[in-house]
Amino acid sequence: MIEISNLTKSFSNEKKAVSDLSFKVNDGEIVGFIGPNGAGKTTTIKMMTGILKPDSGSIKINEFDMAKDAFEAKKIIGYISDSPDMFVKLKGIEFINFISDIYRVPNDVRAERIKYFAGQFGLEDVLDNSMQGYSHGMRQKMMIVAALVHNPAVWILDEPLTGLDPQSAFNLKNMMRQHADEGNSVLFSTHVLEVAEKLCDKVIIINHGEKLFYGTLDELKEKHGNNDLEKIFLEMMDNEKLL
Amino acid sequence: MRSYFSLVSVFRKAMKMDKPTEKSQKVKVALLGFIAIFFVMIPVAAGCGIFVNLITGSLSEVGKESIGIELILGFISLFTMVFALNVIFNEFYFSNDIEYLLPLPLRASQITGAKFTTAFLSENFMQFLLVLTSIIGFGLAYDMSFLQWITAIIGGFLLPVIPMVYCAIISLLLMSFTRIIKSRDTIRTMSVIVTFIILIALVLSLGSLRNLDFDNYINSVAEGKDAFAAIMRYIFPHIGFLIEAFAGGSVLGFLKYLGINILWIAVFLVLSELLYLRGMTGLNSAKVKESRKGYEKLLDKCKMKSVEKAYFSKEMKMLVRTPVYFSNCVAISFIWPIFLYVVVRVMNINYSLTELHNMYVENNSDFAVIMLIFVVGISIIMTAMNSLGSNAFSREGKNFSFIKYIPVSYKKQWNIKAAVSIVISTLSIYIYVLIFGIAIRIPVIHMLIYFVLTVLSCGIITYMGMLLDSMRPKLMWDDELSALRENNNTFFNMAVSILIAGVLCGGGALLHYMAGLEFVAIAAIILGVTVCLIIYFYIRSMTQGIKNVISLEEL
Repeated sequence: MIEISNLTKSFSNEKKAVSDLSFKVNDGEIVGFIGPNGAGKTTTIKMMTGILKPDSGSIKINEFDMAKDAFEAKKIIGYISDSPDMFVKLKGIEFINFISDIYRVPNDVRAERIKYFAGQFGLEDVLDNSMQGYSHGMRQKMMIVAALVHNPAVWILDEPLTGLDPQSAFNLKNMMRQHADEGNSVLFSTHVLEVAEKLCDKVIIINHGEKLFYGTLDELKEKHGNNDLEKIFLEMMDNEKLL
Repeated sequence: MRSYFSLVSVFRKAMKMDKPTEKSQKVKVALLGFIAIFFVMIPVAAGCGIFVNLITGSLSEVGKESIGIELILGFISLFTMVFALNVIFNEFYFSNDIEYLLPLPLRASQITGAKFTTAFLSENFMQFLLVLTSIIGFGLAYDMSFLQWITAIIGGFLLPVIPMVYCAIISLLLMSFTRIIKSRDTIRTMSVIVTFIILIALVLSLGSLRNLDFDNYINSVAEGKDAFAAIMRYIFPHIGFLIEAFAGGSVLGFLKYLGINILWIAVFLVLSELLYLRGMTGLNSAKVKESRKGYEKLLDKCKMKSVEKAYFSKEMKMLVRTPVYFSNCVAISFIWPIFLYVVVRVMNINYSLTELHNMYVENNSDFAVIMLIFVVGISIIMTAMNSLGSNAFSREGKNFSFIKYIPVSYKKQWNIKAAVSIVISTLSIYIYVLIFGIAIRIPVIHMLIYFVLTVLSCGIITYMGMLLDSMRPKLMWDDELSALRENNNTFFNMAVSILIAGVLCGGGALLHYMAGLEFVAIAAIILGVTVCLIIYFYIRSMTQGIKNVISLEEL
């Protein structure tokens, strides 16, 4: 479960990047985080993962408050950042092992999990290579494996489908669904509205750091005349411009 | 031309470190800047000026007044070439902006020209300070006219152009072979090796100056008999024209100087047009060899390590496998004995091991105290020079956020990063001390004292460097070299380190020679001071340093 209450963040006294944002990702739910570029999605995600410190508000990851129990909270988060170019001088297998060591993945399940994820994303043949030679998509797959190898309860994924081939994207979406169905929570940001429409139980739409909508897709459609998500989103952004 | 100026402006902006915003940080940065300028830059520059002034004064009677300035300008040009080679390689071929520049409708010469100008402007500051003080030293002894001063200053500012053009041409030619070599990493490693070969050749050539008698040396230079000066004149003929211009007041000499600069720039731009893109197209990243062979074995090897061991191992791998970090942070730590060799050769020190042993054991502990001071001094200076501490956070670059979201305490991460620096620095110093100690049979207890002092000295500079870097790390960079070269923290750390080394080593020498204290007493005092310093920097790191890391939001 992720519980965000009245989260606010501003940089260098400028306009608020995130303003009084509240929402909840319940166990068993996939929530899509939607908004135009610069809306505050990544800033919110970075606060949720402990990278940025909020000016005010609270973040709870399961029972752990990020302000008080950051260490425990971080242990149960699986986070994919928006940049996959991390530690590219390491071999794929070294990187996954390093992350597994950091998150204390025990010996008896480690190889099995690496094998499973490598199979899901077609990485078996390249694990023994330096990640410097990987394509953008391959690096993104490595980031996914690294984020999930410790079997975290809460998945926080910043545009996880970027750069993935269709098969890998399909597999990741299935994994997200399965993880939520097992009683865990998944939050992911995306610009691909069709994916959000098909996959998410709820969506949060933000712009200029402020929440425009939070709820189920049915509620959204009910409110905006049964259009598809793309049309509704564009309408909402147009209305924002008029304000 | 507009594209060229736009590119220069963009590259210059990308290079700059952000200015501190908080008042307390502004004060700290200003203080560090003051220390760096007044305790490092000005003394070194003034030394050059005084050297030239004295030589010019003493040789003016025999009509050879320009020998001193010629030698200094030659040395500065040579060192410019050594240090610029790696920079030019990185700027031309390995910075991340290249892949965005190549698809733009720009001529190859516009890209290389703009990158060259940026490198020239950023690398030239210290060189120009040295050239300027040397010119002042010369001018004061030689009584130059206003016009001569002007030509000297303009000419001095342009001095690094030709050495840097040489670097640019070497990189263009070497990269033309990428069609054969292809791997980006191989080329990068080759550029590092070439830089090291030139540096070592330069240092060793200085070492060939046996039993230096300064008067004889100056005479041999003046008579054109000195091999080093002769080579200088051959490699850098423009220095002769510059001296002709400002020492001889020759307008023609100045025109020749400008002409030769323009000629070399033209050659470089033409070669850029011919070779730059060709070199680029042959360049690949490391090849991915797909193979499932051994996949099961690979999985079998996946065994859990402690967080400390895993993090330490990751840091080491990143340092060793990134050519820029390997050359600037690791390899550089191990080459200091080459410089020591030069000193030994120049001073014609030629003792047998037995003689050295006797000197160490007897001789009123003079030798032992000198060795103690040397070990502390070299540990401090080399740890500052390898900058493993002062760029520990800057090296993370855009991955800095990783430090924040993993479930490993900041304290632990800080100490592991420090351990990496202390281990490499200590190893690079003590391995030679140990060999020397065994060779001349230094008592074991002394060797232990040297070891403890090496670890403590490396530790002090590491924690201090990390503390400085945590204040304002350079996290936005296009290539790894920028994280090091455009990082003021390294420079500030070096400045404060020189101060600390001065106090510890100077204090130790004074206590021995003035107050008559023996080895054990001096070792105990230095040990006490270093323990106090490391406790101070450790506590500051674990409190203020960690606060700095937490508050960093340049992500």
